[in-house]
Amino acid sequence: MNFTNNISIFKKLLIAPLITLILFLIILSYTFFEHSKAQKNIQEVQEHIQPRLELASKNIILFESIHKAFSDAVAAKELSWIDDISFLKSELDFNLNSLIDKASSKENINNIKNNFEEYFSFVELVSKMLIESENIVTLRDNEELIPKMINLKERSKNEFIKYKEELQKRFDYKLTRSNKALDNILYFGLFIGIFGALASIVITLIIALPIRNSISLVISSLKALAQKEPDFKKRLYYTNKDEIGEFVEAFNSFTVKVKESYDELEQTRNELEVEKTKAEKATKYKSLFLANMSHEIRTPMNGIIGMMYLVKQTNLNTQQKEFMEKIERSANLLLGIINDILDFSKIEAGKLSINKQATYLKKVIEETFLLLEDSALKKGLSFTYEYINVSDPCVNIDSLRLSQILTNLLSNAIKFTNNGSVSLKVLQNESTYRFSISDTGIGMNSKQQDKLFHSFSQADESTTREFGGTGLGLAICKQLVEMMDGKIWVESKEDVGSTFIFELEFEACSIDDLKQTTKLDLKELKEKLKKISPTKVILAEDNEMNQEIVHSLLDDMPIEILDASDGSVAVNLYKKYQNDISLIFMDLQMPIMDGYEASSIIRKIDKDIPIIAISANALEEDANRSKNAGVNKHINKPINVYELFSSILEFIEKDFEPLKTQEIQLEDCILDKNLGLKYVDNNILLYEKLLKSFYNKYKTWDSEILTMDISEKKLYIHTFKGMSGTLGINKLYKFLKQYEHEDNETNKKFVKNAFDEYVKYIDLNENTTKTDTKKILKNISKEELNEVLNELKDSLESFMPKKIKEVIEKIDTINIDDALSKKLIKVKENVALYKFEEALEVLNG
Amino acid sequence: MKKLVLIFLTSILLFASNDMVVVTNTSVVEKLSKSEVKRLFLSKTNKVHNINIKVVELSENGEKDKFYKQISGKSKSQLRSYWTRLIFTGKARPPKQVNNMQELLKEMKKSEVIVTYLPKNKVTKQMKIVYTLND
Repeated sequence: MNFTNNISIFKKLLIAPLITLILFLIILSYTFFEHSKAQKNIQEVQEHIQPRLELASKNIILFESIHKAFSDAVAAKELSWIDDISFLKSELDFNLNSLIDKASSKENINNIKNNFEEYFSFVELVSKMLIESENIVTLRDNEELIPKMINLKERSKNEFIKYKEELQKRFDYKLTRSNKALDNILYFGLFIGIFGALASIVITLIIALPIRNSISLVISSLKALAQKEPDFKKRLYYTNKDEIGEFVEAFNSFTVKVKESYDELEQTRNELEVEKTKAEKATKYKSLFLANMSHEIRTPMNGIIGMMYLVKQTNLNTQQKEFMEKIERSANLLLGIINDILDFSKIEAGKLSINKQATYLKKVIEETFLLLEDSALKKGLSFTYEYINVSDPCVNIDSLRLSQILTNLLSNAIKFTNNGSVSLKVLQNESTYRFSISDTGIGMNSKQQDKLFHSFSQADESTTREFGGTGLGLAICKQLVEMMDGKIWVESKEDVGSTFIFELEFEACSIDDLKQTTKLDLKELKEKLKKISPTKVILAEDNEMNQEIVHSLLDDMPIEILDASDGSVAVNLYKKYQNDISLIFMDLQMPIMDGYEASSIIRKIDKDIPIIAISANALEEDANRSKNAGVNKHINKPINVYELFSSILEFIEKDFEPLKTQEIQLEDCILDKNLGLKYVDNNILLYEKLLKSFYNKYKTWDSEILTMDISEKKLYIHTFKGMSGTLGINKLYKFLKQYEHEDNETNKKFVKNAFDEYVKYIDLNENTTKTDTKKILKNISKEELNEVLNELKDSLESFMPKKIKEVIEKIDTINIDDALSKKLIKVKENVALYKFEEALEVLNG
Repeated sequence: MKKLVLIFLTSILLFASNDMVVVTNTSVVEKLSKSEVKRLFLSKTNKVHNINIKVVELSENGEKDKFYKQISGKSKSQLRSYWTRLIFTGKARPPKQVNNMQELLKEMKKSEVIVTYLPKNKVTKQMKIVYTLND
């Protein structure tokens, strides 16, 4: 097969048809040859043999007829009939003559003719004799005549027959030859045809198989290249120099080219990858930077604003005051912008979530409205709101976000309106609420409207110059609305005004959801707790007020509380009294060592000791963290008496089944005394003391937080909130919660207002309580007084709050002079803060 | 009675007429049937009971036509045509002709089995009647 290797496929493919063509030509020429042979034979038969054969056959019949005619003439005894026979004879003679003309060998026929002549003359003679004789049987006398006649007849007849048979033979031979020629054509055609077909198939296979193998080799190589990680090393080996050879050569050089460009691509891709990670990192750093910066900027901003407030309180001349106001306005504006950026980066990072709660819708709207009223009125705008078909008072919404959207849109409207009005309409249609904020401001054309809700965009650049702003407000609004599954759009006309509309679906809820629904069977719980066997518990809590609360709540119980001001103290205490301790209360946020760490250390020492976390960290993440640290249960701050009692019982009394408590919905008032008293187990004295010290501690909260760093401030607000909740200062608690969650100026303002309200409320009440508490006091001797004072000193030295309380209560019933009274007030203050040593100093000094 | 008369009359006629008989020279042939006689004399066979038989005929025989008419039912011209056909086809030949009684007797003395027909009165002692023709 080697010699075929360099023949092109095209030529190879030509072989089969070529062979077919050659075979066809062979068949054609053979057919022509055989056909002409057959035709020649048939022609000969037609032209020569057949007429002679016919004549010969006719002659035999004529001969028989002649003989019969003689026989008849003899039988009929008619001599004249003999003459008639010569007519038959002349016909026979004519035939014989024509045969002589046609025949190739004339002698043969002459012989026949001579014999016939001999026979004829003899039979004529015999016949005449027989006719003439009277009795035919007399012929018997001439013995030889008749046998001779018969002999002659037979001989002549045989010669005729023989001649005819010869002709017949030739006729048959020629016909056979012709038929054979035709048969030959058929068989030869068939043979060559089949042979040709087989040969074609075989040759085609021989040619096609190597081609197919080569092509499949090429295909497999192509497949190898088409894989995810192409194998460029794969080369095609095909030594034949046909078309496939050319293709393979081209393909191999193509592979090399592809590899080159693939490598190039790969390199570019790697470079791009590096660039991409760089870019991603940069974006991440940018977001982080933005978030950090906003946060970091906010702290000094708070400082600036706070200090400004303090400066404004000092004596300033009119010009200075004016400047200060301008500075304050700028600072507030800057703070707003920073808050916007923080919000936006939170949304971008997907860190903002929607928290739905049962809320008075109208309250949210009106609060927002009140907040902005000032600035609208300052610009001399009419500022109104209107409800249409708003029938459900209570809905499940994220009030914070709704108010944020409304604030944004309303302040925008005020910003861009120089005269006329800004109005808010709320329309309820089943569960869909449509909020429309209309203004008579500068308005926008449709081009500007299209760009409106994109981040960092305002109607146009000049607008930014004229009105300022980051252009984030509407983007934030849009994101928030979409997060609440709503939609927002704008309808506006240039120089006429704009209407911003957004639609949200709110679920209605019953007013009951808003009210307090807890059912406490506190008395039973208390009785049970009183009956438990005496035990010790550790209270790890850095906040004195919380310590006081727990102490007073467990006063009547056979439970001794060991105080720990931080985690490490708690751990040490536990190690010391390990066997006596039955329970540990653990605040999670403490200085030095926090609750998580302390819990995990204790958990390592003892697997079974119950640890109950007391924290305001309601986040799930924190719950998981404390669980990992080994905390058994969480009690939320503000401490709920019921929860505290039931938790103790749950862990100390094994057979106690805790009742599930429901989240208490706060009644919306400045001070909910009932709630506050509940937290302190209706101890009015303790409650009043706590209210007072709460005021003392937090009266300067707003200036205090300005000096704190972020984490300090967070802890401070957290505690502040916890205390306000415990004491039932509901409004303050609510706003502090909001403020803790979202540290911005608006929330701070709310807190400030709530705190001021609380202060006013307390002042009013204090006067009344003071008059109430001015009871009839006992007059006692100096010795007795000294004894009591010594008792107080002893109790203070012993660090036993219970005892101290008893003594102080005793003193309160005694009429004492003003100096001592003042001293005692200081002592009480210190005692309230568990500063027993200082109290002793005051008492001694 | 009628039957008797008929037998009588026929016996008279038999004696009165010169009846033709078929005779032979040997005792090999016992008797011939009418069809055997017909076949022998029309040259359709030359064997009876596997015995070769030579048929001879007196050429001067006035009863010739009568004989053939009786055995074959053929007239003189029919017989001529019959023989002509046989002759021209060469299939058979008519019986051998003898001219007189001496020649016949001479023939009869040969060892061959000879069969011929004669009037009854000409039958000799050497001859045996194998068939009798009746009118």
